[in-house]
Amino acid sequence: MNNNLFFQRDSFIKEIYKAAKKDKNIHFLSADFGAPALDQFRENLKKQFLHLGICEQNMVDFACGLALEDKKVYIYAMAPFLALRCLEQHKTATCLMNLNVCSIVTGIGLSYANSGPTHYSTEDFASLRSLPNCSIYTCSDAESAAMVAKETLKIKTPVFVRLDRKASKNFTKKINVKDIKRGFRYIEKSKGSKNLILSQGTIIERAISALNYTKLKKSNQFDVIDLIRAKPFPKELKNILSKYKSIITIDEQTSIGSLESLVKENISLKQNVLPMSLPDQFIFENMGRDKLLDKYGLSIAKIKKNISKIIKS
Amino acid sequence: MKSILFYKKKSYEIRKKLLEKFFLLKEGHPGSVFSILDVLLILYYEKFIRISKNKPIDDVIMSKGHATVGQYPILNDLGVISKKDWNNWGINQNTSLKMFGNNNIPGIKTATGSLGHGIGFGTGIAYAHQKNNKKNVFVIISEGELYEGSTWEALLLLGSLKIKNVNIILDVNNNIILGDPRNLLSLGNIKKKIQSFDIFTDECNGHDFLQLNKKLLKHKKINKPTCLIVNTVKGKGFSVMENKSNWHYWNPMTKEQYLDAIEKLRIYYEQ
Repeated sequence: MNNNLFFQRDSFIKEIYKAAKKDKNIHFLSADFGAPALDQFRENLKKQFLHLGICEQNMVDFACGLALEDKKVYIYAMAPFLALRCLEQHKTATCLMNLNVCSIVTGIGLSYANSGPTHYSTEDFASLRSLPNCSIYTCSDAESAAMVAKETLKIKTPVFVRLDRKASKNFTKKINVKDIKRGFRYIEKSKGSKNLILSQGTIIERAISALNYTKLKKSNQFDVIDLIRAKPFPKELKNILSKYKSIITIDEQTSIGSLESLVKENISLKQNVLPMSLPDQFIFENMGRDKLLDKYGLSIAKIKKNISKIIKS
Repeated sequence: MKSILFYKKKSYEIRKKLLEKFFLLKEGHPGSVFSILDVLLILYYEKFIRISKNKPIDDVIMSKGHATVGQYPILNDLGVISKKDWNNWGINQNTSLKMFGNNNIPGIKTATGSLGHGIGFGTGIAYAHQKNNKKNVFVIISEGELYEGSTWEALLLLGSLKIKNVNIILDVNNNIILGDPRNLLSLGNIKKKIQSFDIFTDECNGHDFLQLNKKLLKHKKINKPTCLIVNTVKGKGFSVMENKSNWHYWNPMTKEQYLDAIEKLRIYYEQ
């Protein structure tokens, strides 16, 4: 990939491909959704790949049938359809029966900008996290996608992995196995910091930009945490959150049930939370993802403003 | 094949046991359970579902999940469901049995109750065994499930994969909750529609043990997925509920009415 930009989906699928070459019990199903890395899988592991048609509901049920016979199944489609179109299948089949099915939910947030609200996945997090038995991972760069992929190979219960559509740079701060195990990683960490920015997915890039612009990094006042596993919520993080005076949550989801809600479920009422998310509405304008994020409450300027507000308080 | 007398006796005994439970629990879906019960008797007692060491080798996916209850007394009789589970059901909480099946119940493969999942499950299960061909999967669906889009998605895949060890049994009792589907939203020519997916489709009387056995034996030899449309009577065996849509659910019954239903059932199967 040019300019050191990498697609999360390719990083993820490459890891699954490597494992599937050795383990014939791994099956990969697609609802007519592709990726260069998947082409390699389809070509070389024909018996372990199936095109299920544009039938997300049946893809989930079929995957569950395979999982009932001790197969490890990956199912792959565009986020709004793999999360919500077949949400009842995830409830009744994948989660209720607690099966070894990993759903690769690709194109979260406003990834498919200019496609309009049918293609945005801005409520998948709230919907999926309401389902018992599942784990939910969100990847913020291609490296984390590869690491999460390796982790999913060890999990034998339902997993949802939320990937971005776009290619992006890997964060300078390398992810490691410990981060994946505990479910979060520090992107910025300073001794004695009393404030935190907690985010998930590529939107975290904006938090880092905001901190860099305000040069607050040097003043050691804000830590930044990338939440990799939202469910089960990391126990260690719950303790860590209690130490911060103020928390800014940044999530490319509509406000209801988003990261804001998750954090508030896990901290004391005394702590100050400044939530930043998309409004509870459908977005129709065509102006590209960056401008949509700017307009609908997730601009770098607004993050800076919230950072300043906390510093002054 | 076991004798017709054997099946008449089982039909009576199992129906009686189930009515006792429904009467005790004051809930359930007797109409749907009794329409498919004779099919279940043939599947289990003719060993289309093989059982080894108290565990089924083959699978019944009760996609019309509200009829899973019909499997319980049979699985209890065959040693898969324990006496404790069966006897305690409706009496106390010390049982795994539920009004809708789930995979925590011995001998029940999947969680069902939400319609339209079974063929997808069954296809996945059978696909996993396609090479060794060591498992037969019987998916029991209702005509009501033909309204679910996921059923048609699943039929498309099943026909395309040509998996021979998937056998759909489609229970047509001409009753859904609000009446006869032909007068509500007609399903048209069901047989023709299913055949169009390259699934071998046949039909028979769902209460005729000889016919059922003959058709299922025939389907075993077919080299592609099959569907047996069984024409049934909702609430079969109980005149109070036969062909009555409102008996999809349990209806209040006095002790006298209950005893009368049992007596009529006895007479019916003694004929």
